[in-house]
Amino acid sequence: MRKLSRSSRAVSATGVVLSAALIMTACAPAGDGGGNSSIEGASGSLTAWVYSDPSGFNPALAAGVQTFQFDRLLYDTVLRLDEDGIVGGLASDWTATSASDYSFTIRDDATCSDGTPITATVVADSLKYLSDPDTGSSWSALVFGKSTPTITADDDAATVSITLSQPFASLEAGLTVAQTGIVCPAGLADLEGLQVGSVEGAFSGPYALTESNPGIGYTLTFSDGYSAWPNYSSPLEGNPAETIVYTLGSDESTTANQMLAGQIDFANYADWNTIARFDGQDDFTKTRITAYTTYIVFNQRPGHLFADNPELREAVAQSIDQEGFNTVFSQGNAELLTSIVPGTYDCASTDSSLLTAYDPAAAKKMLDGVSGVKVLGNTANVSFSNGADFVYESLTAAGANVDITKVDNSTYWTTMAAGGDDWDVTFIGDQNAAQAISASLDRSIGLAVEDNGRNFSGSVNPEGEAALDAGLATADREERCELFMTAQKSLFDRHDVVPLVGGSTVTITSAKATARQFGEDVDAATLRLVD
Amino acid sequence: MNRRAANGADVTTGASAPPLQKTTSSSPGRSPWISYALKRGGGVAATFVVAVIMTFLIVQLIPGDPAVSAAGQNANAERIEQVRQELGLADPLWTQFANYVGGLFRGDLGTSFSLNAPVSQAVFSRLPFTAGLAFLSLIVVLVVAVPLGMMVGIFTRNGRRPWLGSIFGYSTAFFSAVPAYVLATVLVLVFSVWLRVLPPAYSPGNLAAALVLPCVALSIASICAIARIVRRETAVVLEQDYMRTARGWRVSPLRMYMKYALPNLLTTTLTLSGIILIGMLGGAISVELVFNWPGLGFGIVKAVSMKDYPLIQGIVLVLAMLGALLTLLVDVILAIIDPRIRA
Repeated sequence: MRKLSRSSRAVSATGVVLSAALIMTACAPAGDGGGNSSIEGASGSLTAWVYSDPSGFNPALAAGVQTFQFDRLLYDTVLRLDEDGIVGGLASDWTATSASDYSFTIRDDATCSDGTPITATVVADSLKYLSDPDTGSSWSALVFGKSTPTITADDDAATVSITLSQPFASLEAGLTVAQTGIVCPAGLADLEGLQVGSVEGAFSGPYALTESNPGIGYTLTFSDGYSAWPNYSSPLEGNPAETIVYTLGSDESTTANQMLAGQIDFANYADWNTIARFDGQDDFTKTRITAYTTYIVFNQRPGHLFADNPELREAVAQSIDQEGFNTVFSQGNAELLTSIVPGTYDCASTDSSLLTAYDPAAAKKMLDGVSGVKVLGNTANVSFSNGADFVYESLTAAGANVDITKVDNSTYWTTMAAGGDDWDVTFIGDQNAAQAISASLDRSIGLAVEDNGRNFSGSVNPEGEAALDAGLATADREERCELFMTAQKSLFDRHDVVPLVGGSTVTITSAKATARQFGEDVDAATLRLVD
Repeated sequence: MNRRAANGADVTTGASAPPLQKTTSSSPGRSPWISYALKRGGGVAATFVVAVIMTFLIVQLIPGDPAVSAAGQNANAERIEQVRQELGLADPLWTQFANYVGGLFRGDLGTSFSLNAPVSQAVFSRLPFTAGLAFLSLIVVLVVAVPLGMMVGIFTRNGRRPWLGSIFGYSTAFFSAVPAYVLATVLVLVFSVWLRVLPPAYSPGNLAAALVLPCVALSIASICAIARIVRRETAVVLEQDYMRTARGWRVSPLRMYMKYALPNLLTTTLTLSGIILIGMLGGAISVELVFNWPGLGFGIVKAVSMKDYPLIQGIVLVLAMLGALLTLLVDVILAIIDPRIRA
């Protein structure tokens, strides 16, 4: 038998390596080049970016802002936000006879992605699923409050009626939230498939999920014949894209590189250094929104340092320079808050005189020598990490003996969700999906999180709680705003919260794309191609 | 001690070559390959067992509650507990481990908390990106470093052209010390942002072009390291008696270097290449983040931030097994080249 020479063996060995490499490379998924379409009203392709994969495609169980964006494109909601208020989505009209009784007339031209007509029954069934305690949706409370809803449908009249056991005036705002999107019958019949996005007929919105590669990317395709656009006060520009291709990325700087190179048309940024790269770039449109608010809260559970001690809480408020925090948090680019929500929210206080003024001398009188103050910080990003350091330094400068623990985002929310003993003071980033002040007020008023409420601080504020409940019980906007103002004042007077800054993000679109801002949200469903 | 190979060259395998040993199997009449395969296969199996135990235990040490991550910031305590039950996180640790191992034997790596997809799907959809990048980078390393090192070794033999030796030495030392993610950032700045000739990140519609910069970033340091070693080995090989003999036979320079010098360099080079490839799998993690390259490195960073235990375990296990299998592959290749290694 002829033995291989050393050189031949070496070549054989090298060939093994090369073959393996070629096989591995060939196995890498090929690209989706997109394409043009002859579908009337929709053509071309847009590429968008999200930070991570959606948590799933069941809107009732959505978690994470990237998931909300997908839900907005895939599912229509009963109502929608417009530039000057709320307009009909799947509902062409609606009435609220009280804060407990609502009736919605469903439009007759809406269909699911499999062609099933969206009737009153379809809408009612989806809302019943959302409100069912067995579903376990975190978003049900945004729509129905603490109550148990009775939802009935009349297909002949094309109406859906909602009756609440307890009044909740924020129901209309709640029904605009993408996570309350209407799931079509095919999706409700296969909840597991719905969650992974495999049910073709589940979608009620302008787009359907046609390609799903977790960790790599997703493709949404315009639903043939979709025409259920909301009747916005001003018409949308451009035409919908036939496909929207979502890519994933963990680094905003890389994403900015891709956008500047023409690879990405729609992306959201939080890092101001990256945003600055688009300054002077006329081919890009920047839309700034306050995506969340930051404010200090105290752990007021029995036995904690700040429980039953409003003077000490006031001292902390006096030690924090809001403008200094803004510099550290966002290089001075964020909105200084006058309440726990942006000033643009309905019923939000815009009176800065209600807040505790920065007074380091007064702060030092109370805080000097106070020991064992536990600050909890979130390292979700550079801004939050810097903000935690600022709070720590401010309290230390006031003479307090402070221990700071900085943890990653997941650990942070684990700690906050548990109530717990591991912290005394922190600043939270509050994302208010419904853009309703009540959804932020109950972060500091009412039942504590460990008691199935939403109050992170565990404070007991009877005046605030009564005002919040009364505000949610009235359909009269003026009365509601008075009551919500009372609730806000109670928070400021008790020093339960220290408003800091609005967390701004900037949505950037390329020259060939446009999207509309409603309130503090850029609506992904308005993303369109322009000439 | 030299022996004459089939091509007439004296066989030497460089400074690190093991002493010549009689090639016999432990059992008379038994192929040495069987013993070798059994020994190496046992090592891989042991690696698998250790990797399974370590990956399960390590993720338990990560602080934070994955049920909170999965349920989201707006979830109340009841919902979080519901999610905890659904994900099996409320079970005792030993039950979770038994379920995990049982799933592995069925080929089931579990379900990702954050992706709501089977871990096997998530891992094996990403694997070609990482492995392809690492393998292609290795090919680039071999194709560039070996000829480069040989050429410099030949041109600087016996102290000739000292300026070339200095330039080569300093530049390779510099580039082998620069971290891959730093190089990656510079490459993106130059070729994507300023010159706009290559994509700055993964581009599904232009995969070949998008592969260039990550490949270069990942391979430069290894090219420098390998080239330095090949240069030194070349200098040693060129002084061997069989090379003088070849020169005396008036063999053409190209034939002399390709047929007599190169094979004697390859054993050391291939040994190092296996180690470098395994290192590249780790280096690919940082490069993937710079280029939004959807490979395992990108995936594990996301999985850790989401406390996605099954996905973390799946990716780490696959990477560990990949490393073990690559080591096995390198050993097999070396055994093909040099039968003495099978002894």
